[in-house]
Amino acid sequence: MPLDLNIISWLCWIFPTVGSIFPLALRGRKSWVKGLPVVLFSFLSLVMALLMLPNLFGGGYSDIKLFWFSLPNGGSVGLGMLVDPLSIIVVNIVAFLSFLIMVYSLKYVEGDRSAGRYWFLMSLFIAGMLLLTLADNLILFFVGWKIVGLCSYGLIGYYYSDDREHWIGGPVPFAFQKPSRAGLKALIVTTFGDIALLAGIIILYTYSGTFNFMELYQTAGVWLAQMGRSPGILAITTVLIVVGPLTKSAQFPFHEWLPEAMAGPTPVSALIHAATMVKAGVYLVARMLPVFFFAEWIASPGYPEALTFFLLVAVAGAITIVLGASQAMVAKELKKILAYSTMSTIGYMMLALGVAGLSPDTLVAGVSAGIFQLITHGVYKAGLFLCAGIAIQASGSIYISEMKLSRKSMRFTWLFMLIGGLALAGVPPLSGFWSKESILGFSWAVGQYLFFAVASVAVILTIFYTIRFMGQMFNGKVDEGKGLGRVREAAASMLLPCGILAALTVFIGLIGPWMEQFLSQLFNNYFTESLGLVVTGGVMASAASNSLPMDIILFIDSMLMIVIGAVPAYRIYVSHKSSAEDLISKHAVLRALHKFLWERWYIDAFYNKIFINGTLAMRAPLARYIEGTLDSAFNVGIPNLFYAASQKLRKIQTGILSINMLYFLMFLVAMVLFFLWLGVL
Amino acid sequence: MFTPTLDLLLVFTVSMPIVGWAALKIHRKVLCGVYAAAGLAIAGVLLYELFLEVSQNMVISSPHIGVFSAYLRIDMLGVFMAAIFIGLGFAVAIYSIVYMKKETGVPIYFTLLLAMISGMVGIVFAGDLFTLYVFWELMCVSSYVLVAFRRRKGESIEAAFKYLIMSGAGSATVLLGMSFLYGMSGTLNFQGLASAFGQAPPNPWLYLASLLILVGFGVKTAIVPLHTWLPDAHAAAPSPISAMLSGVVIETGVYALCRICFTAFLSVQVQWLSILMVMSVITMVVGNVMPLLQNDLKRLLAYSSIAQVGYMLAGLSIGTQLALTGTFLHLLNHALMKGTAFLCAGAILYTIGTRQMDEMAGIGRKMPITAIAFAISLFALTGLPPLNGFVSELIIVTAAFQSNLAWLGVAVILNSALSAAFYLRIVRTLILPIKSEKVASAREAPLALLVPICFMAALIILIGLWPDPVIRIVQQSVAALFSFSGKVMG
Repeated sequence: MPLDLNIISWLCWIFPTVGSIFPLALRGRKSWVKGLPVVLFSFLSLVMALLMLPNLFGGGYSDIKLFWFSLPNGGSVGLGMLVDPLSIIVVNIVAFLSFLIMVYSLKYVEGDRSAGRYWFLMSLFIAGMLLLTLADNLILFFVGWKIVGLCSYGLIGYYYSDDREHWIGGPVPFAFQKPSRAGLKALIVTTFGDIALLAGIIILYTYSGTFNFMELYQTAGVWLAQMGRSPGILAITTVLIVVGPLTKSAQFPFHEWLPEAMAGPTPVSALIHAATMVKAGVYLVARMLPVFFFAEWIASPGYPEALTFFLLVAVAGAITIVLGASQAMVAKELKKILAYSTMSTIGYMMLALGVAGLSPDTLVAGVSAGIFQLITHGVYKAGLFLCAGIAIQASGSIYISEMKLSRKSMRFTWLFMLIGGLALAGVPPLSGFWSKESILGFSWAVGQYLFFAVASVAVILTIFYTIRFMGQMFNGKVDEGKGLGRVREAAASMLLPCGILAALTVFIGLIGPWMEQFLSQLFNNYFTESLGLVVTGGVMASAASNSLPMDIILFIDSMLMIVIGAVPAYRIYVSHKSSAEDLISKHAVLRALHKFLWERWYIDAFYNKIFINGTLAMRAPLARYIEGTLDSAFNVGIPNLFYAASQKLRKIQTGILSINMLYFLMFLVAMVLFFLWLGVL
Repeated sequence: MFTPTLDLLLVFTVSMPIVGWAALKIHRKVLCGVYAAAGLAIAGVLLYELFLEVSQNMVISSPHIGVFSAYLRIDMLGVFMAAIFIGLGFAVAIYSIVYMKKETGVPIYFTLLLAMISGMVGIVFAGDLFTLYVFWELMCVSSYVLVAFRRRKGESIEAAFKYLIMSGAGSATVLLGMSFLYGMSGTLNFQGLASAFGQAPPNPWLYLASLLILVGFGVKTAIVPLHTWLPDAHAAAPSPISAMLSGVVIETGVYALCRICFTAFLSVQVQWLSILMVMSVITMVVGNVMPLLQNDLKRLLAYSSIAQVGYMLAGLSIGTQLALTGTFLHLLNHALMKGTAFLCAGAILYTIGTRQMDEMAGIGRKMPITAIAFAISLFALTGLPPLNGFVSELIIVTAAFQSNLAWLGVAVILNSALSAAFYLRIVRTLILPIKSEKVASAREAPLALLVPICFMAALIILIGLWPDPVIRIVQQSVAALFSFSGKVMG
């Protein structure tokens, strides 16, 4: 091979880092001039990512550690890139989607005066995301994790001047939110998770003495025994480590920042808040999973506390599936619907990863199902968002009911969006169907019927909101009426990425079963051979080895769910046989439910009440009693004390020589007296 | 006559007026400074050879040489101190070439500067108290005249007169103390003093002698309340001389106290050091409180020297190997920090002609390089990591805690926190909005002033980041200091 794997993995994230310099250097140039180097460098990093692909088949991993800095207690932090199946898959997804979205952005931010900031942050984001994926230790990982978090903050609040046109929320009777507030909210919530994660990492380090992932796996037996001596520590560490991914991936109860993160430009939402950054949490869970799996099932004696990890992840995922899907049913903003569906779909991934550790023989099936979902979701959701960007730019409205797009004049956008939407809803034979099916099948097979039921019912909600937004956006009445051709199709450079993503969605759908098989084979090799996670006495069963009748039952179940959801949605939003407004006004239960969902389960209001109003209420007494007291003590008292001391002491500096000589004499006499007092003179 | 380094310095001192006279004849005033700087540079090279020799042989002693039968005993401590003096002297000489261009009497200025440096080098090379005293007076007399160098200014004359009287009184008590020691032991040789007084139980005369010597050297060291001459003298002298006085001359006092403490006063060390400990805390508190309301920049820096001496004395009064390492490292660091600070203050004075801080608001905007170097030196003086002042203060504080003198360590920490108040006030002055016409029309200082400043500022950072090589040399110096007590105390 002409390029060493180690160099490839470094270059992969260094390219976008270098790319981020250009938008700053090319000040005052046009937007596309600034963007071109960024596109070029993201292409180079895609090439690097593709060059890693051959290693996927070889199995095993590569990790060349370089010294970075040493820590006081003998440990050290390394610099190194870990290339293993997990990171290769995620890196390829990230690099591929980044490149497409960068191409799309060329047109999207055209003419924006502050586009330099956009390009800089996007390029830096890609670098951070690739860094966190490739990092071989938790510290380097955390560096990337923070870079993406900060770039996300900067890009959500991209329109920080808070012009009226960039507000989200509403429509009119309801409150609006400003982009700068949305950015801050995301930063605060994710930083909370970051701090918890960092605390978890530090606890982990104090016991294991290493930050390196591979060393953590290899020495797990030793440091878990250390940790096991003080009960509760492992559980605390687990909770802290899980909180990080939950905030980053917008999972319950830290999900409230994601809907508002849609205040940023649409490519940002596509890249950061759908395809990549929110998957960083999933990635970290998958990274740390072998450690906890080892602790729970392989180590003897086992550490039951490790089960916390899987339970937390699975429960948070299950709740978020329903939470997201149900809110998407009533949301009025297109991007918000997509954001809710992102939460919901990531919930599926978390569910799969969590269930993977609930019994000793489900590791491979769970991880491969979760990662499969990550791949398919990344592709179709990015496509959906990019189409949404076209729709919003074309119609000038963020509300699905006001878009009134023509199916005929925007034929391609409609088609690509439809493919994405159906994949999202899990309609066969598109990619989303297979990944959703593998999660459902797997949770059924391992006997987690509750999780199965939740995931299965959510399919009804998903198909409902998919048909709802498609139907409302491309309203059939527009084509019949005079509004024909009100808006035109977007530029080719924006359509092309959408087309590629839609084609890929179909393609993955066609090879779905084989891909599922391939992934589970891959992770089977990885876990058993590279990491040596073999359950004694258990069999590493694969979900794909389900018996045939089971597959058919599952298929029928899914179809049934889709039909249950699709029929009413079709009647209301496509054929207009019945009206949603009428239904809601007639039934009190539906009205209450609608209100409940529209108010986002009252979770946001609850947080506002507790945290924001609580802080505001504390403000006055805090300022009065604590800060006021400390302020007068420190900022008035101490300076006054020294001012007075200085004033007094200045008097000894008389400048009169005879007095100075008097000091001389006094000093001498005082010393003599001192010695006399000591009794030596 | 003595040793190549010292001889060379004396030769240059003596020949300086002749060269200066010739230079003035051909209207090349610059040559005076170049000649002096060249002399110091060669002295530095010779010192390096001496360093190599000392690091092999530990001690070079040459008894009974020259006119007054001087006794030189050169060990690592002497070489280390001499390197500080010659190094700072060299920087100051280069700085003075431009700084003193407008003055008359430049040959005399450089003659006195060289004489002062020769005196200091002699002090640290001296092997007995009398030799030390002779060189001490050489240093003192030349520094009196240097303070009064601007002889038409009342301020300079007043300051020099105060300095002369107080320092003279101090020298007198030192001489009296020395004569007591000689009367008791019949020798002034450090080795002899150590063996004469080291083991015997102390008698009252020894206490009296120690007291007189403490007071005498204490004047030079500016122990409160013997410090009153210092703010006047250091502020009134030309800035390069202020850098020398504050940077190294007061440190010869610290050196002398250390040397005598570990030779003649080994048996009274405990009492002696406990007095010093109290005095050091008083000194640093006064040195840090006095400048809080000071508006005269050079006066402020002069007061802060008193505080810095307090830190060094705190290290000495702890008396352990580690503490002394901190003291001597701080000696070097203080020479760099305070030297840079005074040279920067001089550059500002040179450009806008005022020492009043409220008149120089915003000068950093016009003289960015000077201001950055100034800020570095001030941060180092505050004890901010990763600068050199932090390293030595940390060693002193650590030593205090190790010797169960936590209160002393805390006093040092609190004092350096307090000192931030006035050091940061200077930094603030540098970056305030420009108020006066004078500042608005100011330009960056000439290159010849900037070169020594930047070089020393770079050293401040370098030693702060990578103190190990310097610390190793300081440890050898401290071992040399302890070698007398090692033999005696076993």
